[in-house]
This record gives sequence, C-alpha cells and structure tokens, in this order.
Amino acid sequence: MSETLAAVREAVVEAARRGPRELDAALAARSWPLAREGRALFVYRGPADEVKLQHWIYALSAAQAFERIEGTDLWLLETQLQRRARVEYKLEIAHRGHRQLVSDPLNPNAARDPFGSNSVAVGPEYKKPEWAEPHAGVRTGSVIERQLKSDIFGDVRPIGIYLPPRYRETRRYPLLIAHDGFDYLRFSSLKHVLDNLIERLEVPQMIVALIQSPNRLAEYAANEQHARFVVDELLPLLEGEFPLLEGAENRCLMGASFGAVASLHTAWARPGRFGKLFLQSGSFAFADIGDHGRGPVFDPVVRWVQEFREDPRTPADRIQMTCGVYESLIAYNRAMLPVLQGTGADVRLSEDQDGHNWENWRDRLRTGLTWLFPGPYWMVYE
Amino acid sequence: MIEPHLAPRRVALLGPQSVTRTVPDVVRAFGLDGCNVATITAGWEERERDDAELDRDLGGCSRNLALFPRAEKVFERDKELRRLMHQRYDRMNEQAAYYRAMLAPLLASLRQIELGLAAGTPHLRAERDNCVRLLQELDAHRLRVVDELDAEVFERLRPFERTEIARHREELRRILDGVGGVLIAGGHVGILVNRLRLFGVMELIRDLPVIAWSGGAMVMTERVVLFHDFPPESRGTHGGGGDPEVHVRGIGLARGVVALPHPKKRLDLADSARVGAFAARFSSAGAVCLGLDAGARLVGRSDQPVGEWEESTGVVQLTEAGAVPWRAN
Repeated sequence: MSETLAAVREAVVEAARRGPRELDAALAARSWPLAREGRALFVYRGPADEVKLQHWIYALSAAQAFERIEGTDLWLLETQLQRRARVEYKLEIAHRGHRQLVSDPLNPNAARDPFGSNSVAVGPEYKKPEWAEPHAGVRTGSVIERQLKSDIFGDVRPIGIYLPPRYRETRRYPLLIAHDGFDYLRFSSLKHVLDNLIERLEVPQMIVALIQSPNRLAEYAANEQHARFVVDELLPLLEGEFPLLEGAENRCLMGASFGAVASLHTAWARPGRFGKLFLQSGSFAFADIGDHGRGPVFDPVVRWVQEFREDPRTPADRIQMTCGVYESLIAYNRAMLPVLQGTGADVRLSEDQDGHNWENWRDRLRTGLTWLFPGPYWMVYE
Repeated sequence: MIEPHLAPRRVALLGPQSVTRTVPDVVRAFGLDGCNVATITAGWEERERDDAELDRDLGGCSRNLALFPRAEKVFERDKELRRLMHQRYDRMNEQAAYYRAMLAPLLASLRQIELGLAAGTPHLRAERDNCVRLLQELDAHRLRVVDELDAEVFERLRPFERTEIARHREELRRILDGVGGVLIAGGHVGILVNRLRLFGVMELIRDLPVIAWSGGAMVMTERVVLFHDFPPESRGTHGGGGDPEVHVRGIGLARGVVALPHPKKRLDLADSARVGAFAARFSSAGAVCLGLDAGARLVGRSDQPVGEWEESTGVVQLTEAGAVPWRAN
C-alpha cells in the first residue's frame, strides 16, 4: 500500500522539524513531485522569500504559491494533477529582491523542446510507452549518414538514413522524411520506435531520412528555399541511392513545431509529391485581427498560414496531426483541422494531456505512424 | 493467374503451430515421416531458414525448398523480372485502394442494417440481403481484376522460360521427386502465394499430400481473405477494426472454405452481428468460414469440398447466428 499524500506531507514536515539530516533522508527516500490519486505534492528546499509553481498549461492560471513550513527551509505545494498528464513546470524562486525560474532540483524528469527544457510532473498512471524502449530479441535497423552538398543553402548537410532491419536492395520501401530528424532520434527514441513497430508488423519496413537544419527557425518557417531543398536536392539523393516505392502515397513528411510547418508548407508548395503528413504540435499561428504576439520569427509563418487558410489546395491525402492540450498551439491546430478536412484529405487530430516537448511527440509516434503506414500484420498469419 | 488442374490428394489444414504443434502427428497420420517431406516456409520471408524447430519436430531431416532466398537471388539477377513484379505489386495496390474505397460504405451500411435487425426491425432483411449481394459482387470483381492482372503479368513474364527460374525449378523438381508429402507454413500470405506461383511449385508437387497451417492453410483455399478486427490503429469502418477483404485467389486445394487462422486473436467473436455479416458475405455458393485456432485440424481430399472432409477437430464456424463449433458432414 503506497503512502497517502497526507502521510507523506506529515512525514517530511516532521523530518524538517527534527533537522536538516533527517529532512535530507526523508526527501531522498521518495521521488518528487509525488503523485497520488489525481493530486501531487511538490517540494522545494532552500532559502527563499517566496516560491511559486509556474506550469506551462495554456489558458490556466500558471502561478501557484508554495507554503513555507514555519521555522524550516522546506516549502510545500499540494495541487491537482490528472492521472495520465505530463505537465511542464519550473519553480519561481524569489529571494532578497531577485526572482528566477529554475528547474525543480528534486525532479530529474525533464521535458525537452526545441527551445530548452522544463521539469515535468507526471500523473500516477502515465507510463513511458514500452514500444519506445529497446527490447532484447527485436531486430534493429541501422542509421547511416550521407553528406548532402546543398546549392540552395550553400553548405554541406549531414543526412541520416534509417534503414530497416533486413534491408535489401531488391525490395522497395516507403519513405518518411523527418524534420529535426536527429532530435527525433535523440529525444523521441525514433529508432527504437521504428525497430519495435516494424518487428510487431504494425508498420511496414521503411526508409526514414533524418534532416536537421542549422537555422530551423528561418528555414522551417514556410520557407520556399526549404521546399526546394527537400524536393530538388534531398529527394534526388534518396531516389538515386535507395530502393524507394514510387508514388506520393509512399512519401511522407513529418515534423514537430516549426518542423510541422515546414512539412505542411513543402507538401503544399509541391502538390502531388507527398501523399502523407505527420504534423506534431504544428506552429500554425495566425492572427485574423491585430498582432499575432509571437515575435518576429513567426512573421513568415503567420503570413503563410493566413495564405494557406485562404487557399489550402490539397497538400496530401492522409494527414495525422497531434497536439498537447496544454500547448497554446492547440487552438491553432484545432482551427487547422477543418481547413485540412475541407481539402478532401483524410485527417485526424490526436489531442493529449501533454505539452510542447519531445516526449509528447515520442508518445504519439505509434498513433501516427501506424495510421499513416498500416503494417503487414494485415498480411501475416503465423 | 488461374491454377491449372490440381490432381486430387489428401490435404490437412491446421491451426497455428507456435504453441500447440500438431504437424508431427498429422505427418505420421498421413503415413509419412520427417525425412520424406519437403517444407515451404516462404511466408516467413527473411526468416525462412529459421526452421530448426520445425525440422527438429520432423526428426531433423526435412528438406526446405527455400523459396524465399531463391526468389531474392532471381530478383538480383533478372532485373526485368524484378521490374515486372514491382509493376504488378503497384497495380495490385492501386486496385486495392479502389476496392477498399468501395467496400467501406457498403460495410458501414451493412453494420447499420445489422444493428437495426438486432433491434427488432425485420423488414430490413431485404436491405441486408441486397447489401450482402453487392459486397459479394465487389469481392468477385476484385478477384477477377487480380486474376486478369496476374494472367497479363505472367503472360509477359513467362517465368518458367526464364533461365534463372528454370534452373531453380529443376532443383525443386529433384527435391520434390524424392519426397512423399509437402508441408506449408504460414506467414505473409501475399509473399507465400506469389513464390508458389513464381516457381510453379504446385505443378512440381504433382499429387503429393499437403499439410498446411495458419497462413499456409489460407493459401490452400480458393480465396485468401485478409482480416483483423483489432488492428493497432483503426483502418476500417466496423467499430475501429479492419475491413475484411479478398486479397488474391488461393491455390484451391481446399474448396468451399474461407480459412481464418487465429480467430480468437484476430476476430471479435463476441460481436455476433459482425460475425454474422462476415459469414453472410463470404459464405456464398455453399462455402463455410472456418476459424482455425491452435490445435484445430481439418483433413480430407482435395476433390471434395471441405464440408465433406473426413476429420475436423477444434474448428469454429462463423455463421449468421455467430461463432459455433463446426463438424464436417
């Protein structure tokens, strides 16, 4: 039987009153924040005049004050936390006239996004999906690297190529191009996910091109140069060297945040080349009136999203969108859903209790990949 | 491509073998031993030669025809054949997309009608019969289109006249001349049926008895029907499950049956409306839809429909009233 939050609270308060060593031991004996039955207990220890929890749940009051335990340097906050939620937060510490946002020193769990990382609190029923972990006995694919000399960008770029287990040149494979592909490998376990889903026949063997931009906020911002790079430089390299299935239905672009913008924009700018899109937490910001309020990097995105909403054409036939309900981008993604459906495409939006981070994007990979690329389980009867 | 006449012989269709292995018993019951049978495991694809367990069960001296690596070697050397097979694959997929697009609204309608019937509106019976007839026509059309495509491709391909295939066929003939029976495992049914046809294996097998299981049993029937009610992601119109579809014509050694391995795992047997719709759709011309779980066994002669076969054990039949145990007449 696990301790109740009330019992834990009583135990750490008692330990704090006995002395620093006892408190150290009480804190070290548990993981923090401690989640039970839809609630969580956050702990901070240290000199401060005020401690607040700043969470990244859009449209909810962000700051919640901790309570100091009289006569100690222990601060506590008990608050609601949904069972399966992953909530990003930082602690706002005010001390001697200074305020700073810090990661929770007692919580090793971090949620990473393209702009940095935050601490993350997870509800008691959240589990990292086992299909994102390496498993003994599962055949593994390989990631090889090619250098692509780009005349468009005037530089040389490393391109990662995931080749599936049992790759053979006599076979042909569908192609997935992943924006921020090396980040997907590092932060979203993309290779383990592919290996597992292929092993379980949930997706077909496929080739995945991993691209990474040195200047993603410019290149991924609905940038015509990027569309040219993908279609006129990257695709010829891939089609020349690897056995790919022909046809737009066997070509998919994916990306998260600005990477989703780049994916949708490229498919829109080059109609008929990509039949599938996997758009995670797309930064599809627009402003029908006034300023969009998201800073100058969003200017080209907003301009293009406005244009896209006016003339969406048919960017692809099948589109999987995902977005965390704690993201401010959820409103834009919801607004984009009927626009995309109106093109005649088969479109789904998965909304999940998570934020704008790589772990959210990892946890949605199975949903998107198995729908976009149904695997041969349909054909296999052992 | 329509198979040429297949000589009558004894046939056994078995359930999956991964947990309950019945193949050795049936081999013995057929008067064979492991040293005079050939095995076909092409459905296992790259794992084709991972057949040590099967070979051990058969006494360690079975002969695997190794159709999958043979085909890979042929594709490496005969680029034109590879190109034509890829073209066939692309056209099969293109046609399948149209077939699925037409299936979906019909199956959605059938589902609605079944729910209406279950709720006590008997006048929907005529609508149901009409919907089932349309589905059967669509399935038959799918099969005709695939037959025509195969006939066209194989006519252009003339596989048995090609040097590489002819050489492998000669090797296969020598192996098969020395055995008294053939065992066909499951796996990827599309690959399995393709490799059997590419090398003309059934002609080389002549009238040898055949013991086939799981996907191998599907391929031995007249129609290979793909199905899965619990796919990882929704891909069909029936409550999130996949829409059953006719994939290709089977070899035809087991007539009057649609073989359905892993029914407990792959079919929602508790959904009697869904089971009933499946049975109505695929039970045309007296065919029966039979589920083969581990331990299931059907034994008979290929010149008789499965309904008249001599032995059935552990088989479940999909009927319009739901799933029930089945016994041959």
